[in-house]
Amino acid sequence: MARDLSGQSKTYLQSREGVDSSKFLPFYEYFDFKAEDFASLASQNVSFHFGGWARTDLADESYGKKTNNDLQYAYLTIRKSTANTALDLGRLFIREGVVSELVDGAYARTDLVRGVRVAAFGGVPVETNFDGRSGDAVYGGRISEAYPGLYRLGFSYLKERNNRTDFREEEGGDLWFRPVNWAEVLGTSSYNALTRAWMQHNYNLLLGPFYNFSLRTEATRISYKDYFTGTTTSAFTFLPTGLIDLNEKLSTEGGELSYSFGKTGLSAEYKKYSYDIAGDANYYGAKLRYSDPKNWGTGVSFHRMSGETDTLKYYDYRAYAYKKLGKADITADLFAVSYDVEINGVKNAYSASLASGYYVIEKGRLSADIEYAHNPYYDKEVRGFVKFVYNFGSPYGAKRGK
Amino acid sequence: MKKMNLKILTLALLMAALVAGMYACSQKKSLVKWHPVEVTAAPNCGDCHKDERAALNHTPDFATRHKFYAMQRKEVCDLCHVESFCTDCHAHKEEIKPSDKFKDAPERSLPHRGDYLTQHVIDGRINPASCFPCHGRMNNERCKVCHK
Repeated sequence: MARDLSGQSKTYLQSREGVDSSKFLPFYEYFDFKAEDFASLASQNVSFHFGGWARTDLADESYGKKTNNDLQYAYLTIRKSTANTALDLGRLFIREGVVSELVDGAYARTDLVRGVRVAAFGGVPVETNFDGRSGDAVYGGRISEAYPGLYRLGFSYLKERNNRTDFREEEGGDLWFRPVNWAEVLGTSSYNALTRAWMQHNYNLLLGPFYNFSLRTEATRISYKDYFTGTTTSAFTFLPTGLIDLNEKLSTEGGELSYSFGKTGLSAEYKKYSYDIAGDANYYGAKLRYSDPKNWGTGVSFHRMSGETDTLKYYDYRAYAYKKLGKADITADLFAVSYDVEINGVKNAYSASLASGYYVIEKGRLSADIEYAHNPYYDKEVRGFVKFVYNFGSPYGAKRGK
Repeated sequence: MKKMNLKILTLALLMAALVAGMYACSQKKSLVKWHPVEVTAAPNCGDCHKDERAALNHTPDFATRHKFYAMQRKEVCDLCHVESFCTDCHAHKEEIKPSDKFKDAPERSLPHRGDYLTQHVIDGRINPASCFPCHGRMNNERCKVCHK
């Protein structure tokens, strides 16, 4: 028997309307649990992890099916008490450098000496089906080296085959560098070995705090032709003559300067988008917030997007507030976008939501929210959502990260 | 060709022997399974940790850079988060998530606040690469309703 069984049941009822005035009332159940210490193999600990969901429509059919379900993950972990050695078997999510995959397979990793760490995985990719899974495979790994507290540098590799032909082959590096307590560099670069070109560079520099000031800067470079490969949806299938040019290359540079005093924070943001083909755009604005998580909080923000095309010229605004009242809480959130040029005859779009939750029992929370929206696609749209979350098993484990 | 294969095999065996040797010498204790003290939402790790762990402070914009930490040492995330916390957003065929995440914590930066169905048309033009990691190969069944 498991010595520590914990998990969560999330039950949702959503109410919304389709563009053709269909009424949708989908009912969802999300269920996950983790069973730990249910077996020991010498010094190795064994645990099992499960997550899945199911939906049934109580009104009109949504997404082309009256019912639907999916296994999110289900895997066994065998973990050693030394060297962070672990082996996962089953359906699992792998995050190792440029690898970010859901796989039916195996994933092993361990620390070696002198800060060296290795990880390897292999199996069948779990992706949106577009041509079946026969002949599909994915494998790869990562090796990294670290000096504790100063840096960690990794190199990762992934190869995916679809119908026994090469679908993706990606390589990349990742970096974390913190020479002093007030400066940190985070970044990654990925290379497409099939197109033989860089897919993306993404680097962040974090500075501070200095006298309550902190600065976060970011720089990225993306080559669309090399980045958007191996997709399973036409949403990312760009053409040289399409709305988004396949040969586009995008560079962004930007940052956010924040100042905090007590529970109040003020920040200014700027981000420059430089397109090789579509021209440039600038996004800038400011945020002000007050946050006392156990009592109440509020915030406002304002941004301007100024681009060369009509769709990239708009203002966006946001205001929110929340209040905790013992076992209950209430949150209001308002978004508004003002377009320079009307979209479908609409110049100002907005959405307002009101959400509230209450712990009806110690381990169970009932919450509900309603959202009203006016946008270029709906004159008015009202959405409702009711949720009941129940944590079970070990009170410590069940609450984790929720 | 045979000489080449022999070289690759020799190299692979040497690498395997090197890894095995380094593993045999590495007997440092594994990370604890759980953070020893229960951490409440949005922790400020720097309150207790004065070393590199302070970098994990969950400031309101932490969601925008959490990927860098997760891609290097996800087991550190696992000290406080169960797997379903990740799959709430990093999903396979989900139909309504992640718009339900942190509705009661509006100060946190998340990519899908408000009426995102309308905004995604604009954001997708600005930088489609920001959509791709989560929707390029998974969690895109809903995209097909419009993107045939």
